[in-house]
Amino acid sequence: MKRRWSGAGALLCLFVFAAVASAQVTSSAIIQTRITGFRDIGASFKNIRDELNSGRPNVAHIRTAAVTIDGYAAHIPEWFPRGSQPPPRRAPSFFDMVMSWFSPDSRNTSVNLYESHAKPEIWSDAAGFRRATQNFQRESARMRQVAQAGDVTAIQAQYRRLAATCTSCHSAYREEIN
Amino acid sequence: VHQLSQRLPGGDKLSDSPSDARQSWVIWDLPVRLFHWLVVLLFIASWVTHELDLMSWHKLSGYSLLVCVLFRMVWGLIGSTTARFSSFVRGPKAVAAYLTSARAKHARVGHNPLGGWSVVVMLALLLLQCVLGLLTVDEFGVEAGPLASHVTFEVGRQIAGWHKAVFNVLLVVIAMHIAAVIFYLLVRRQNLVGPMISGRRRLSVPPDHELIVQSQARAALVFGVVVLFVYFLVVAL
Repeated sequence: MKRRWSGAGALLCLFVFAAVASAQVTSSAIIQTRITGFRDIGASFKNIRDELNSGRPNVAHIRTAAVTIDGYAAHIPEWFPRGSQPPPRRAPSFFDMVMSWFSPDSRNTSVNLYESHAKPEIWSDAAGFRRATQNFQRESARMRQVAQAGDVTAIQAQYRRLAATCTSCHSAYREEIN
Repeated sequence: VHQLSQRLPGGDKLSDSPSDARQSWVIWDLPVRLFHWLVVLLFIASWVTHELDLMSWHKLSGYSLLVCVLFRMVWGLIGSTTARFSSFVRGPKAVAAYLTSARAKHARVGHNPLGGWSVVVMLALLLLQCVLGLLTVDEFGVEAGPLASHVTFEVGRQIAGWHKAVFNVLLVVIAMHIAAVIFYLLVRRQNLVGPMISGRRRLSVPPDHELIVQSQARAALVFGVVVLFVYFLVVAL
């Protein structure tokens, strides 16, 4: 009898451990997914920027980038489930501070490092974050249409409008990195 | 090319009249002084414009800083005597001798052996900082340096990290530079800021070598070439 109880206890412990571990794995996996996605969005923005600054923009390249951005935009609501907050960070040491000088995203640029800078407001002000996401989705869809039409002046104007949705959302929902 | 040479006055004539003993010498020419104070202004301007997110002004300030640094590097090869690297870049022995015999009276004018190296380090860091800025990309992939189209988003972001790191290193080096100037003022009782404004320094003993001041036409020519070079770097590439 005693042995059976301890066996059940061990099994319970295992379940709890597995649940916690899998929750952590899911959380860090979704953080990786969204950071990779946002980096790809940034790279696509740069591609459009480079084309617009080249003097002779290749509209086909802009189109590809606009489709990429719009594709990711649809997924943003899935990227921030409850429990995917960045894990609490230990107080930075002097070494951390010096190392952070060498990275604009405080150690976040290296391809295999994924440190989330999501603010808690994403979850505490879910309605506001949803609105910010929808702004981005609306402008990225319009960007896709404008790129399809191919008028460079219109693309330029829409690019500025789309970029403005990035900066306004980041200032409200992403930690500023200094 | 026209050169203004300050010849060493006759020694016996100097000792005869004590009122003339502390003669004034041009130790920093106008281009060196303009360079120095423009770099002060542009460094502050670059800092402030970044903090206020005025990126087009930040870029303009950076290009101007690049012009100044490149000008100073050329002037270090063909400029006036005290501006030349050959006159102030000394080996480790000279630096050690300067540090150990710190109390001795130095008849030398221009950068001391240690200060000479700080000039080289600051110039190198400023040049590096300007070049990194040309390639830097922001977190959105929207704002970037004029040469950033030659690198990927990831590389541009890494360069942005170095741009930030070099800025912090520059702050440390500049703090050391200012500390050295204050040390000279308070401990050695020698004002280094005055000569960097007026260009002149009064000396009781004549300098240990002839000081040649190059013409301002030569400086203007070098400046023009450097401006064109930076213009093509930023606009044409």
